[in-house]
Amino acid sequence: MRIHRCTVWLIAATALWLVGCAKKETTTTTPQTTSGEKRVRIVLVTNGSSPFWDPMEVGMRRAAEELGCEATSRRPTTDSPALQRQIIEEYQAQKVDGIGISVIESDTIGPLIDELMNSGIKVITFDSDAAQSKRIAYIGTNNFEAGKAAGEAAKKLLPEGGKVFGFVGNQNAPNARERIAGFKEAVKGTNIVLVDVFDDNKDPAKARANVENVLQAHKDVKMLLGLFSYNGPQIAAAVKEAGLLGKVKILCFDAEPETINHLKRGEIDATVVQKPYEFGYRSVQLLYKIITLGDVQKALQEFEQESGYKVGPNNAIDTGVEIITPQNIEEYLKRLEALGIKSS
Amino acid sequence: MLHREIARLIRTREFGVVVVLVLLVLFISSTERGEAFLGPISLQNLSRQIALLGVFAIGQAVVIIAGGIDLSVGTLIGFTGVLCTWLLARAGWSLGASVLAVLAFSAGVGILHALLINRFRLLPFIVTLGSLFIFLSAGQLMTNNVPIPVSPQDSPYSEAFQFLGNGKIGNVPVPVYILLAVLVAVSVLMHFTVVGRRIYALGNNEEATRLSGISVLRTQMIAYGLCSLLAGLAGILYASYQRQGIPGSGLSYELKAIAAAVVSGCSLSGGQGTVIGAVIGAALLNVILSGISFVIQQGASNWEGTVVGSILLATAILNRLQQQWLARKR
Repeated sequence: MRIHRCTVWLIAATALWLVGCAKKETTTTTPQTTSGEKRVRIVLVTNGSSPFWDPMEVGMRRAAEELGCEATSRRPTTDSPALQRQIIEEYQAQKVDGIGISVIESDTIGPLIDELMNSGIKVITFDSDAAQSKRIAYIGTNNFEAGKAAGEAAKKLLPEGGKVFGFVGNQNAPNARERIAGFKEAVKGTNIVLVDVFDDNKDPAKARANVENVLQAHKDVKMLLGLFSYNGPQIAAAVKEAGLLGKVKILCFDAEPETINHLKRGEIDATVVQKPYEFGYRSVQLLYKIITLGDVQKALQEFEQESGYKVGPNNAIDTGVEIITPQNIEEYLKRLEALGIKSS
Repeated sequence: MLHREIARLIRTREFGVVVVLVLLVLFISSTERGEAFLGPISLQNLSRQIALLGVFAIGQAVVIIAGGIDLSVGTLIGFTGVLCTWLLARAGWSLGASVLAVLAFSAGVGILHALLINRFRLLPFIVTLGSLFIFLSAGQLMTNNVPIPVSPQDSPYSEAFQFLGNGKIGNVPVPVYILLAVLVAVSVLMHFTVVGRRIYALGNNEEATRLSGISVLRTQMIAYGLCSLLAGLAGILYASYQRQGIPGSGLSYELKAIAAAVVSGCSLSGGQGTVIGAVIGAALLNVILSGISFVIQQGASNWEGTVVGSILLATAILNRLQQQWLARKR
């Protein structure tokens, strides 16, 4: 009796599955049309849930309003490549017109990008690239250049040189690797040495504990370098607690609310800020052009003219960075406010 | 007499961990930067890390002893941290009111867990796994993923709040006092009260406990309630330590708590172990984590998992050998 019921279920499930498969095939054969009253649908998938993405979303919405298309963003709750893949596949199934991705892990996401492109969905990357994939273009910070900018700032803060320790979520992440390489390149030939870099797997309490340990284990440390956005506040908290403010320089990336507070008080010496608003705005702008013009070269040419950014080798578009210090923080905040952003 | 006491100590399940812990500290302090490791500030930092983990590892130990498991403590820590800073900085509550509200909420979460487990005959694993996801997302929804700082301009209680996780009384970090108070209170509860005996009994044999007329539900409510309450307390302390409520923090801390409890003798099948063991386990984990930065000069982060995993395994093997040796002696 029991086996009998099992068989019925099995047959029913198989039948349903077959119907599902058949349906899937039929829909793929219908051509995608973006003309007429159907609005262009664009999705931007971030590499995590950091508040760093807030201004990106502001820029994304602004562009969508101006162009009259539909744009949404999705933030994976963790930085797991598998989770990001799952999210992208959801939109693949929905057959959106264009996807922008901040790639968590190029080996996992790269092949998926190729698959998307083959199925007719236009893909660009932003913030973090998968350069080997078939993605059309990359918009974001050239992280090697950003690392170099940090290195230049370090030279100004430490003219005599000294030991530097780095702190990051995962030093094998492509953006971390490039920033570190750029930093090392810029300080080459000086007395500044990046001794080691510590991972915290994006756990803020661990990020702070790492700094505490370094401050105790290496009394001769001259500067702490926070490579991800939440590292800055945790470094400042640990240095403050150890009574070393002013003695150990703090150089970090991005401008989380606490980073801004510390900058205003002069407790963080400099931060390298990217332009996440531009990531969102320009990604939607470029994807929209590619989708509506149907010609990548023409889309890139128009984009170059309208945005003022240069399309580099392998279609990489560097939006650049800025160095913010206690001296220019107020002016920077005023500029953000004008765009409708609290912090980046 | 003294000889008998020592013999008794050697027989305890926690003995193996203490041996490993002592050997580890001796090893780290013998290395090049060992002196700095035993320096006052390093010890303060280390003891604070142990206290932060110990507080909720104790709660996890109680639930494990009661034959259950609580996977939600990690994200509950993140969420309660956000809740506490939100009440302080956004709702303008006083520190006392915020802390009490967070603790009451946390205890309520644990009681709800017990109710779901008991009334619907659900596995603790699935109930608390559900909570794990809910609290992660709840914190993100509440803050739109932006950390909530508690600076003086955000709340008049900013300094008092920061004191909880960062402050020191007589050179000893405040969380250490909190850990000691929790440890004493929960140890007394577990070893000198009827409630404690019921928790052990429940972990040993739920059916026998029920048949002997003990309310399983009430005992579970106390165990899970205590665990979530302590996670809430840890959430407040972590938020203070990080100086802001950060959604998504505390992720996977439940594994640390389980490791701390289990490495020193809590059996995952329940009924065995002690809460002080969980604190010793927390000490072991944090000595390893801090020690790595002092011993390994290059690429310390990449070594972390290997070192932690190997030492945990070695400790477990040592524990097992000790138990076998004792069984043969009997």
